[in-house]
Amino acid sequence: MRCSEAKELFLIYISGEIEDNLKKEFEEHLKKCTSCKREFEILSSFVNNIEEEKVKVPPELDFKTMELIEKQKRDSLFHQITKFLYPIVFALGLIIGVLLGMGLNKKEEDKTLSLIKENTFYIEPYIQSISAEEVLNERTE
Amino acid sequence: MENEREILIAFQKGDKSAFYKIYGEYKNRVYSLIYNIVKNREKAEDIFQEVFLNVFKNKKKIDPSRPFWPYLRRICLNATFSFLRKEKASVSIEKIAELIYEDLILKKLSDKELVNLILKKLPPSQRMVLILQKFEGYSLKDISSELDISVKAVESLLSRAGKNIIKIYRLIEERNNRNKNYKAKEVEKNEVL
Ligand SMILES: [Zn+2]
Repeated sequence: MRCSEAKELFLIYISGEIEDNLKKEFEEHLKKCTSCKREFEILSSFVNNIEEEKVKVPPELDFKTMELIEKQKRDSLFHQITKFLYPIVFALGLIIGVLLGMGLNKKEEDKTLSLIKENTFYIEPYIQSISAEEVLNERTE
Repeated sequence: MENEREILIAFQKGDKSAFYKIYGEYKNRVYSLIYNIVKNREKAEDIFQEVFLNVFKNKKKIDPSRPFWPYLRRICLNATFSFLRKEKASVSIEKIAELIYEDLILKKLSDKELVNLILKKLPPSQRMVLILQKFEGYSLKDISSELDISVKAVESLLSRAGKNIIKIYRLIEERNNRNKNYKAKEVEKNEVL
């Protein structure tokens, strides 16, 4: 085993999860190579000395987190309400649309009537009514 | 936590106090795990909030018949790891060693403090593997499955961590020797004069 290969294995060996065949080679190398041995010892003691930093949640983080969750709750409530209201709003829109269409119709009819009166020939009334399908397409776009 | 199962079920049904109980029970464990990986208060706080928001949003995914911590820990690690993936290392190991050396001289650090400082300056995903082995007792395979990366990738993180740590120690030693030589020369000069 070369030094560069041994160096790759230091922490894997220390974690105790090195493959058996590599383990032997690695140990053989350390017996012969003082510089690798020294580096290996530095790393072993490094790993032994790792300590968990004791930290606690700061109070303002409690506050921030709860606020975030409350916001999420409100948002999802709002979402549910709009989901519930959506068909109602849609139906209302449809009704208003139809009523408006009828209003337009009426105006058109009036115009037609006056035209007939004025010109004494028949004009096919042009009636633009909004179909439900068109309304639907517009909504989903 | 006593009656964890009942509390989790209550939480799933929308019981606010059940959520507070779960939060109170696990918050420090969650925060400590995240903090010890990212070693930065602000980042740890962001990830922490994301974790509990995730728990809240996905409460239906919890299985109350199983221990909660492994589930929660998985959420923590995923959130932390995806956060770290977005971050790019910006400082070279040489620069890191220089900074550590300054601290070492100024604050007269103990061995343990030095270890902690080096750990703090390692690239976070390399530190993460060391932390999970040491504090959570994870095997390489555990880490690979929790983080959804190959065992080879975990080994490579460990190899790189090892090389970086050695390099930092070597650079500190070189710096130390240079300093000693410089001081020795200063003493010689003064003696001549
Ligand atoms: Zn060697």
